[in-house]
Amino acid sequence: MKKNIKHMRKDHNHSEGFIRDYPLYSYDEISSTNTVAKELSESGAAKGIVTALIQSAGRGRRERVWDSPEGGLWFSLFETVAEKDIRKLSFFMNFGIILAAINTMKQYLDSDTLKVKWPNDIYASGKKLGGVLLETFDGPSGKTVVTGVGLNTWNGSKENWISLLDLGIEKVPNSEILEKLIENLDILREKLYDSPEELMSGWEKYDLFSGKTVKVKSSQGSYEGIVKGYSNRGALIISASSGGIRTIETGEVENVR
Amino acid sequence: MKIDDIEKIIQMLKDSDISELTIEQEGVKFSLKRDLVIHGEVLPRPAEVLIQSGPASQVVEAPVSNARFIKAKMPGTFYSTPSPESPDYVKVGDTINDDTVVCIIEAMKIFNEIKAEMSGKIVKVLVESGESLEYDQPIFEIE
Repeated sequence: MKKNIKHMRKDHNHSEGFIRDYPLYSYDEISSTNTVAKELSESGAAKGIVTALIQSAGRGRRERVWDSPEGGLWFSLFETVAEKDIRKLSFFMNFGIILAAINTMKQYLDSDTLKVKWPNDIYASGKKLGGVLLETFDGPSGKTVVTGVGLNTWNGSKENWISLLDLGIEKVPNSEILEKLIENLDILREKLYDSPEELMSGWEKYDLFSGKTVKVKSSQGSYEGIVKGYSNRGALIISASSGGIRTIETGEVENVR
Repeated sequence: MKIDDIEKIIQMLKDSDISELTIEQEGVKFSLKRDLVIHGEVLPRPAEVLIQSGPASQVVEAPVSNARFIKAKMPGTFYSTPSPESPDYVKVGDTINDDTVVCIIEAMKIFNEIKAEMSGKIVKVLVESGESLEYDQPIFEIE
């Protein structure tokens, strides 16, 4: 039976155990793990992991709804750092968490079926398996990075996304997947936190768009071109059909051919 | 720097043997030469005083403003609201302080909440929500 903790804020001093050295805050149903992570950080928690069985208002980019029914793995990792370190940490989390998730999924899926879509979505067999929403803000004791992750594990599928269940994987507890993912993240942090080039090259091995013609919609305009790679800061580099090389920091990418 | 200050400096130059003088202050650089033509140059920082070229007698008409700017700490996309349907974080006329959240800048799908880090009143929003920002680009004019 579910505990009645919907929309309830937990006291940051009362986590329910740890995953590695991250205090763990587990809920049955909350609006969004990112929202609760932000609240916990604002109440004084320096870091932690928030999980929910169900997100009633799971969020994607610009408040797009992230469907979060029971069965999927929905969590947010938050940590506070000094202002000078915020760019480095958010860059690492953006690409490192995806690589950690890929390394974790490789336990269950053939690595050839796993892809990343710039900048932070995970694909399996051509459909979305997971995604990340990163938010940063000023906390009471520094800058906080909240890394929200949604992984379709045992929650069935819809038209544009797929889950491990649909891929015929034998069920394992989400808690086990989460622990492995956080362990993989810490391994990457130890090895690659100071090596953005290596982190990007590890990420690029799974790139969905490498060498393909794509259309990018960004606030700077729409461009079509061939993907040439990614900068050490994680920006997309394309050889534009209209001529020249373009480096794009933010945008939506569509595969054209 | 105020108009009175400029007038005093011009007078000082007239009364001296100095043929050329350059002063840089608060993002504005200007130089005076003995032929009394003033060359104004606005530095990359936001201009707080506009000095026009021309004979010295016209220079004292340069406007003075107390404007300051909240600028982009990173390149990315500017959003004035926390979500598409939400009201703006701040609008013209709002009084802000250091901790007031004024916007979000998205860079590579990372949504960065930006605080004002200054106090004052918003007199102008210089960027449309959804537009791209360059590093150090002024976003809000603050009085």
